Parts: sequence; C-alpha cells; structure tokens
Amino acid sequence: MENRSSLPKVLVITIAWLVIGFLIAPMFVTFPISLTSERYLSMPDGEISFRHYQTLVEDSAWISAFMDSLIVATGTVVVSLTIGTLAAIGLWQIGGRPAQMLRILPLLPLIVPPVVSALALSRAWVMLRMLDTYPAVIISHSILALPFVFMTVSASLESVDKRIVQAARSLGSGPFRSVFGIVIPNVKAGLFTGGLFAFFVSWDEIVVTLFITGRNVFTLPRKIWSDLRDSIDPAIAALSSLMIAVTIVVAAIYLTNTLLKQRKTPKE
Amino acid sequence: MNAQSPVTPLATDIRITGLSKYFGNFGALLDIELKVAPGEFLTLLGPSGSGKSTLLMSIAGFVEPSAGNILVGGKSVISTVPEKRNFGVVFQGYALFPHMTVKDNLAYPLKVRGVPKAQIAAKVQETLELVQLSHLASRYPKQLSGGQQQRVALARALVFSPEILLLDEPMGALDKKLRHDLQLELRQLHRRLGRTFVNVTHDQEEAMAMSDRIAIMNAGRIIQVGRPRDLYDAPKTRFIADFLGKSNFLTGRVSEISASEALIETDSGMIRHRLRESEGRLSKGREVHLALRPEQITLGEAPNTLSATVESAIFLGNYAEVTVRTERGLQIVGQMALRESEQLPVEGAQIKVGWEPSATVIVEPD
Repeated sequence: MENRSSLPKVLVITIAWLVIGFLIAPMFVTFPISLTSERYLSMPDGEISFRHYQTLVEDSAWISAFMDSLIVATGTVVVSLTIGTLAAIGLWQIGGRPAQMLRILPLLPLIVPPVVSALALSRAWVMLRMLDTYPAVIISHSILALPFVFMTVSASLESVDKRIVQAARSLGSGPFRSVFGIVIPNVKAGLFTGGLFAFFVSWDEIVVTLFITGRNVFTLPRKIWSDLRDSIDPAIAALSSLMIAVTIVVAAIYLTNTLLKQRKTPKE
Repeated sequence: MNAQSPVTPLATDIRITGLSKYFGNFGALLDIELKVAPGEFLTLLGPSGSGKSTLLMSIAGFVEPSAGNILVGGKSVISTVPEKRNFGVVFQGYALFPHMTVKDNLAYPLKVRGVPKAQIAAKVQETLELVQLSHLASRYPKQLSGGQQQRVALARALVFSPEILLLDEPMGALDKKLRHDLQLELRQLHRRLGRTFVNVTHDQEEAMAMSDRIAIMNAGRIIQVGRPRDLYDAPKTRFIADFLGKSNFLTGRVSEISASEALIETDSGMIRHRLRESEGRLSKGREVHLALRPEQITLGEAPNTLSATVESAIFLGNYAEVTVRTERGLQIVGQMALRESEQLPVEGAQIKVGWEPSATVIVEPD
C-alpha cells in the first residue's frame, strides 16, 4: 500500500473516471431537459416547469404503456424464474460431464444477436397467430431473461451440498418436496437477483419487442421509441429522469441492507 | 450371528443377494452376497473406488442396482423409493440443512411424517439429549464444529426411529483425536439402541474399533467378512493382510507336510508353518504365499530364523520398528517392544530375526 502512484496506476484511474463520466454524463443533460417549460427538447431557459412530469401522470397513453411494461416484466419474471431455476437445479443434481455440456443450452440466448432472435421470434409468432399478444411478448422476453436467471441460481447452488436432496429423501420427503422445501430456501439470494435481472431485461427490451408487437401490447420502451420518431417530447426526458431516480433509490436501499447485514454477522 | 449384540424388536436383518451395479462397462459392484444380522454393527471397509459407498447407497435407495436383490426383514426393497425405505442415513459431509436450526433439522423427518407438533418437540428434545446437544438446539449448522455437526446428522437420522442406520464415512471430515472419541460414542450408541448399523469407511482402525463384523471390499467385490480379530489373524488374501494392518510376505513351495506343520521352501530357506483349519488341505509342491505380521517378529534365534542386514531401526515409544533385508533381497519389517536392557540394533549390522511356526498365514495371491 505504500507504493507511490506510478504512471500505469494513474492511467488506469484516469480511464476509469472517464468511463464513469461517460456513463453518467447523460443524466446531467436528461434531468435539466425534463424541467424545461417548452414543448420541445431544450434546456430550461431560466424557468423551471414540472408540466412534463404532469403529462406522464395524466396522459393515458403513458400510463397504459407503463402498465403494459409492468404486466410483461412481471410475467417474464415468473416464467423465466420457474424455467431457469428448474434447469439450474436439474443440472446441479446431474453434475459431472453431461451437465457441463448441457449448461451451454440455457445460455444460448445470450450468444444469439437480438436482431436474429427478434426475426426468429416474429416468424414463430406469426405462424402461431400470436403476434402482438401478451403471452407472446412474455415468452419472448423470458427466453432473453433465462440465461441471467440460470446463471445467478447456478452460482447460488454452487455453495450448497448436493447431498441435501438425498438427505431430505432419506428422511422421508418425496423428490418434489425435497427440492422446494430444502433446496429453494438455500438459493433465495440467487432467485432474488435472477428475478431482478429478468425484470429489467424485460423492462427495457426494445429490439425483439419492436418485431413482435403492434397496437395491442405497447410497452414503455416501445412508446418512447415511437414518440422519439414522431415528435421530440420532453416527457421522455421526464420519464428517463424518473426511471434513473427509482434505480438510484432501489440500489441505495439494497446497498444499505447488505451493509447492515454484513455488520450484523460476526466475523469468524 | 453375534451373541454380543442385544437383539430388540426394533432391529431388522438385511440380506443382499447377487447384487451388481454397472456404470456403462465399469462394474462398480460385482455379485455381492451379504447378510447383516438384526442389531449388528457391520462395516464395509475398502480403499476408495472399491464400491463400498455404492453398496451403501444401493441399500439406501439412491443407486439403482443392475442386478440382484436387497431384502430387509425378509421383504425386497429393490423397487421402494428412498423416502419410503425408512432408513436413517448419515451422509458424507453430513448434508445438514443450512437454512434450518439444529432443532428444525431434527424436526424435519417428523414433520414430513405428519407427527403432531407437541410430539415432535418432545421427540426432538429426547434425541438431542441422546447425543448431548440440547444446549445447541437453536444454532445453525455453520455455527457448529465438525464433531457437533456429525452428532446432529446422527440425531437427525435417528429421530424417526428407523430400523436401520446407514453411515457413509461418518468420521471422514474429523481430526484423529476427535475421531477416536466419536468412535467410542457411536459404538455405545449402537449398544444402547440395539438397531442394525451399516457403516462405510476406508479407515481400518475405525472399522476395527466399532464393528461387530467387517466386510472387506476391493474392486467391486466383498473379499472377506468376519469379526475384526478373525480378519486380522486369518486374512484370506494378500490384499487383506496388507490393508488390515501391515504384513510381510514370503513365497515358497510346500516340500513336506506332517499332521500339524508344513515345511515350505523359500528363496531364503526352509520355513516351518503351523497348519490352520481355515487354510484347507495343502498338497506337496504347491506354491503358497505366506503373510507374517510385523509384531510376530523377534530378534535372535527362533524356530524360524533368517540372517539379515539392518536397513533401519526406529524407536517409536511403545515399540521399535526394525527393517531388515536378507541376502536374497527379501525385506522383513518387525515391530517389537524393547525390554529395558535391550538395545536397538545398529543400522548396517548383521542380525538374526525369527518367528514361531504359528505366526504365518497362507493367503491367496491377488
């Protein structure tokens, strides 16, 4: 620790700050724009107004887009969490080489470019006559979210002794009860993180959504997309600011919680 | 089968017939025949990969045998799922439920069986007292030491009064001193409960210390079953003579047979061997392998004597270990208590070592 700052170290720190700045900079533009009193995208000109926030709350199109996103994201959490968790537990129990090979399957959606997925899914839903329906969007988003759930739950299972399933069965509980009563409570953290990932994958998914929705399902990103094309409404800036604010609040709560927990558990 | 084990109505016998298990082409278990008497403490002993854990897990129901049958109390359990077999199992590494307290771990099998709450509490308390853990009832497994975890696993496997207790390397994760104490405890527990215990270990000392009988396994087969003393004194094969304690080995041909002894011609000279009933009939000219325990070796003249050079002589407190080599290259290790006046041989010295004709055992080559 007594090393004086060497050149490479300074370089790394500089680059790190540049990257952080690059990531955060838009926030400093978005927030002021959302407070403009004009009807178009502009910096507030001495006058601050909350009219665009008002639009968000009052305009039924925004509210319905928000509700659509909520429905789809919640559905995605349920579906991807169920399938991803079962896949992770199954492969964890099989173990060894066959599991190592199969492990690639649930991760495939990560490798396939979104446009390719989008094209494939839109063709599939057309054939099934399910284009622009909630189940189609939820299933599509669930496929995209599956790798995240699978990875977080698998990581959680890593630290669980495989034999607890056998132990539960030797004590008289069937396979179903052994998995749900014994394994699931031990991977709660993985389920929570996986669910969170799934929610946000769906919440800001646009590429696939563009291909498979029309009028019926109109999610928030979809609404932002079409509004940006039609007009440049500062309501978008207001919405972005709100979403950033919510993210910051949630992250802050989560961080303080983990910090408190760490302080509570005694060091061994 | 064993008069020492108290037989109670709770104890059941196990009979395994023609049991085999193949993983692909690999035979993990080959035609296993085994009987465990009611209330007996039987240990499956063998090196890793010998099939002992596979055999135990077949009894528990987690390994599906390729052939053969397992009868418990006269009834086949081969098609019974593990949760319906009603055997207590102590797993390698204990497999305690990390998210449950000690109390809840013990209550689990009772809860699953739909036992009323008040009864559960009483039974859990009673079992915790049996393993002296009442004071740790509300701890979580990770807050316990290895020895305490082992006892929780034991208590959890016993709390629902199973007829059979299966133990998979129960001492595997513990240090040597603790292991010794827990071996005695487990043995006492077995005496008190009078149930049938089947234990798996690779530690011969543990097997000898706890078991009524030991079944020695190697490469998927049971090679010999017997009481610890019988196995030690009369090992059937060279593998057992070497695995259960240490042995010296001599090879030779039978040159003469009398009523009670045989003269065996080895590279290092004629050896007198006292015949044993268990060895069957010998014929002249047959090649035999003799096992000889190090503690049977004495320094100086004896009915069988070899001249040899001392390779090493080590004082180990309660005994000394002397390694010698004969002119023909045969190495013999002897372990002997030294009397006060006796000196440890000097390395490189020419000495005589010997043994009684009754000290050697004819073993099958592997």
